[in-house]
Amino acid sequence: MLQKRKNNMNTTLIDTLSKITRIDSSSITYDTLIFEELGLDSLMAIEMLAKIEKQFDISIEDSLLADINTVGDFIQIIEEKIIMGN
Amino acid sequence: MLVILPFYYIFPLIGCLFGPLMYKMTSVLSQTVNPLKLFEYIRQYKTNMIIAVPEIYELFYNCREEAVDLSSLRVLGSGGSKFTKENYQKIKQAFGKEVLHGYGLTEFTPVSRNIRKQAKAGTIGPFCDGIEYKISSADMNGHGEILIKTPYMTKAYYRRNKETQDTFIDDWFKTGDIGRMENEHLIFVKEKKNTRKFKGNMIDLQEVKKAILMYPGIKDAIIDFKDNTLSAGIMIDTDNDMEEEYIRIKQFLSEMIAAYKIPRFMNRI
Repeated sequence: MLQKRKNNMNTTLIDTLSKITRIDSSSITYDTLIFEELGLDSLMAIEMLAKIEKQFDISIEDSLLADINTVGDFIQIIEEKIIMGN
Repeated sequence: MLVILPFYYIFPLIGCLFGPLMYKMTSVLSQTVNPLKLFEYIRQYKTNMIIAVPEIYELFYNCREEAVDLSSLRVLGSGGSKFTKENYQKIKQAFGKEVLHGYGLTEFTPVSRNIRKQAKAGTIGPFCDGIEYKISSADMNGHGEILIKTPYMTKAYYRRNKETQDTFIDDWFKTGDIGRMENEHLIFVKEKKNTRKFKGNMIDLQEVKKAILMYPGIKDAIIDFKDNTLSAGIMIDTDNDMEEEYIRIKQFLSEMIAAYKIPRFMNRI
């Protein structure tokens, strides 16, 4: 159940990233570097944050973006927010 | 007014700080550009105006919700970078608000702006009162460099004599921007100078090139800015995997220049 939820979250995040950056989702993995490889800029990152907040009904502080290097880092932050019940 | 932009450059300094002070407006200062939080501020504080760069309105558009209450908003003020005709119409239609776009430079702002009830998509409105203008050396389409003259403008660049001599000529200021007039409304065509506006930030293409050339093995680079995307063609002496090399170059650049100046795409030339 937990694994299914995790997979669902990963897929949502990667699909959202793919739509914002216009990079095919098949080339985005857990280790993909968000800024260097996907070319995510600050406004794209905020859009990403807003969409994820809406999707998972959580709130993420903008300042946490500074700690995100890879797609995996992003997933970890979302997981923590969900577990902490926001 | 809902204030989103930082006051450290000319557009928000004039538009979001001096403007509200002059007109005795109440401002709500936001520390985030997260559209969900901004929508909430608009609803909570019943703000009737926002001043932002076109890219923030794009962000609003991409994250808009039917249910959100933006009924207090009357005007979306814009500046800082080009608002394409298509995007202007898209935003105006999506939010059903008046969108007023303006144009100015660090040396003097505002230069021109849309006036309420008279705004036309794709234009930056008539020149402001007290500004004389010329479209210099216009071609057959009426495209030429925008020159302005006003007694309130700066007279020189600090300790930059050459740039001052090249730019301020007989009291006229050469903006380095190409424009044309259409029924008394200014239309911005492109930048003639070596700088580009990206999401409200200024990018000096020469600065980007210089930073890239400092990376070991890079012999030459061509910096391009098209469709609001910065890219670089690089000539490099290496047998390394280029996808990995591009990542290393971007990491190198992140120590040298601001993040928004790092080319999003790179290719080998």
